[in-house]
Amino acid sequence: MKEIARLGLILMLICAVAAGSLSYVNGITSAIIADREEKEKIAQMQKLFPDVATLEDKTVDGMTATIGLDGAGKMVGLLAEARTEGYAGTIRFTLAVDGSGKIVGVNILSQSETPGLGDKIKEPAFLSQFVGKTGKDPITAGQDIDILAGATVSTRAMASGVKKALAEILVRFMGAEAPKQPTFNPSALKDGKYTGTADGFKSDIKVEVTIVGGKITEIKVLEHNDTANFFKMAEEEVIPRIINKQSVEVDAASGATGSSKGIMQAVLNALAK
Amino acid sequence: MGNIIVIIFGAIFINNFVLSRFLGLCPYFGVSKKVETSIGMGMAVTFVMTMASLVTWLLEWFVLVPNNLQYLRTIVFILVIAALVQFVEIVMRKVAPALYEALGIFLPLITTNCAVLGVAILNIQIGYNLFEALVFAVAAAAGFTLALVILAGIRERLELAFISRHFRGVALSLIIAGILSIAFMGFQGMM
Amino acid sequence: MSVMKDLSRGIIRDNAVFRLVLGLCPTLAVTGTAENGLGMGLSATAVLVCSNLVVAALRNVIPNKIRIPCFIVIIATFVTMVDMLLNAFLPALHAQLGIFVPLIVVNCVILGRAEAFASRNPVLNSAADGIGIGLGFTLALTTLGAVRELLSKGTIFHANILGSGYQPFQVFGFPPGAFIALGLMLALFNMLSRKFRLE
Repeated sequence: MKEIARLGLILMLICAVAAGSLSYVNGITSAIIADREEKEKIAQMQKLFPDVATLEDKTVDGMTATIGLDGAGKMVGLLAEARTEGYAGTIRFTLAVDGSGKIVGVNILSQSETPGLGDKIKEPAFLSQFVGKTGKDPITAGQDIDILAGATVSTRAMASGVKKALAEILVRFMGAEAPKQPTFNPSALKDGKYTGTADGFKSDIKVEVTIVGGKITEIKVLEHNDTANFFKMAEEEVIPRIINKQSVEVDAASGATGSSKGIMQAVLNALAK
Repeated sequence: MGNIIVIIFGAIFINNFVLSRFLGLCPYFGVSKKVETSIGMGMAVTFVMTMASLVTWLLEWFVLVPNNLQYLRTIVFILVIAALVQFVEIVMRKVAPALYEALGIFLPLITTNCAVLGVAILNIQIGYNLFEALVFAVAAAAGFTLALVILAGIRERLELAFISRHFRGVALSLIIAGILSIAFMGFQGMM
Repeated sequence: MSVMKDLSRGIIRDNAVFRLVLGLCPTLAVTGTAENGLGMGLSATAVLVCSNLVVAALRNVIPNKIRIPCFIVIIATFVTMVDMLLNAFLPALHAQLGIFVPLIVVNCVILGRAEAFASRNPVLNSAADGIGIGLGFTLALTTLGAVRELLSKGTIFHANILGSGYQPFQVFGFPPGAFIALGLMLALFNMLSRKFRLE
């Protein structure tokens, strides 16, 4: 018994010395490692924004951004991660925005778009189209962003994803005012026909809304180029719901969410003027 | 569930511990003379690897991380594994003396089998949860056993062949392992 | 005199890899290039020398019954230190060697030397033995790394040797090439050692 106690004591002593010396070395090296990792992060930011001197991580409303500050503590740019729903799943990307709210770079972190078609979104030729855009630019597929051949949905997803992320960054980190949500009140509208357009699943949707006696009485789709049978599902389910509820806050047709949301938004755009 | 299948298939075939990750080579070349002993060794390694994964995973997430002591990981893990091997040795001597005789010197050597410490560290580095870690350990050990039994089968046949004396022993085993490794590389196209 | 002998013996005559066939995991895993082989060899040498020193110094203090756990703790301590220092000062090499830095703990060469030599010999001889075996290990790893790098990329230590027209022997950069290259080198070493009667 005494023997076991002696052996245990010696082993414990050695372990204690080992742990002590390790914590000493760890104390020295962990600071150096943290310092180096910080420097690597700064170097990465400096490639985007040459004036960066220090970094700060900030989270606002669930969005985290690494903010680069110059020597005087002024924001010269930030890097944030965002996501958008593509054709075949979520696309994760980073967005670098400089202090004036201009896009400096977009980089795809992960995507699962169709190889050879949709996955062209990760190529520099496509991503460089976003560089230099600001919150005032349309950032819309077919306007200032070229649609990739055979990958309309992926292109539109990236364009709207970048646009939305940029708007969120401007509001959360750069003090821009949040845009007012457009609303409408049918009873305050004059009788007549109103038209509006919005983004569908893969095309613009144009609708004509008829108001009679302060009520939405008819919604007609003038133009669209979404997949026909999905769009039909959306049209048949969503339009009666909007007329019934006199509001665009209705359930989407399951299986045709993109087209449904497009119709609701188009009606909103028509009436909220 | 798909995730689990990927872990199992990956650990056995694609990133086979021996033939692709180079873990556990000492027992691989040491105990692969006979198919029978190689199966025994494989079973001992499977048991130790699974137990070690369980204990080290719990230690990492319930002792080391809460106390910010991750830098003691190597030292703690190796001590746990050494203790476990001692335990297996004692049990095996009582329960299966024939197997104990056959595995002989290699049982204590499981302590210095880098596959065991390797699986414990990989579990933490990859960030598996407890269930995934256990599945990974069993699959990795199965991959180890598979590679070991295949090599032992080939070596049993080579006993009867004429071999240049410069190549006898480990040199030839290494080249056979190289050819097996090429075969296993073929699985990479499947994922 | 005997200190010099302890030093020189480990380099060729008792070379850990080529003669004793120990420490194979890191030997095969990190020798894709000569640089990584050298880095791994020197890291293991540092651990080996330090652990041999401490084990020899404490050889009369450590009770025989618990010597193995004690050796393991001592070795693990130095391995963790090397791991931290590499991460702090040579991050690129640390990333390349990856999991094989902590796995130096289970390198049979190191525990083998602690048990077979350092626990029975004075401090100075043990240090010399550690340096000798360590250099032999480094030599083996660097040579294997150089051969594999030359065959798979046509370079040694990133210096182009075989010219731009060389069609690389890709397989030597992958796991199978490691096994085959070491197998061939072992056979060559066997042949040479028979010829020069090293037995």
